[in-house]
Amino acid sequence: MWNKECSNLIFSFVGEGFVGVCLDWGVLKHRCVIISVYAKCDLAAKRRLWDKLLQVRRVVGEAVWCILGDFNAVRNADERRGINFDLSNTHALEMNYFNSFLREMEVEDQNLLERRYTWFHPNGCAMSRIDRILVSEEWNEVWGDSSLWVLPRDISDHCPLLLKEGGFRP
Amino acid sequence: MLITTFNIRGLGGALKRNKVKELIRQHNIEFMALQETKMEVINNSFCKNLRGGVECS
Repeated sequence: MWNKECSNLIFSFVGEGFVGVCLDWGVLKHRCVIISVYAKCDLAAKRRLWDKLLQVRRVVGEAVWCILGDFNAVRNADERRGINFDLSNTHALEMNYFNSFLREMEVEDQNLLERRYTWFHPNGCAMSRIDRILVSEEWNEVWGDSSLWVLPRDISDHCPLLLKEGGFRP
Repeated sequence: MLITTFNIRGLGGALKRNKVKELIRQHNIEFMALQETKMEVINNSFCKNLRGGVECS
């Protein structure tokens, strides 16, 4: 959902676990590709999603990129707490795959401000950082250096995430 | 650009819709990605309502 007054939609696309738009944004008509992700839990589905996003990245021409949403994946063991974490196999494999996806996609993960985790189990014992806003290097060149805030949680077991220019508290 | 993502887990009820409206208004959000809305169709007029009457898709 976006503000129509400052953007032109070029095209949109949809696949298993994602929906994306290509927009010309603002007075300067910066071409942006923004993809909202909702990843399933199983690794096979996640790998299909990551492969698909890499394909999209290769096909679409010059643009600034933002991929955001619930990735249902962590980059390292510190991003989860209270979950039985088996470093020997599946979880380690998944983190490796996820990290190489981020490298190939050439998008950056920023430090979270306010909170370390974005999802909390209702019993309060488990939490993780599975929601993300990933941007390409050009994003910050176009919009200025930005900061990533985790907003308070109330109506969902996930927190909203907000990426904004500058470092001022939202 | 001010951009946000939120796995809201349902957008059917007034409580959740009001939360989205409040977030957009409070932070001047220009682009919002929502997951798990559990809604079949979200059209432009639904978005416009969430954005307090501003034209959007």
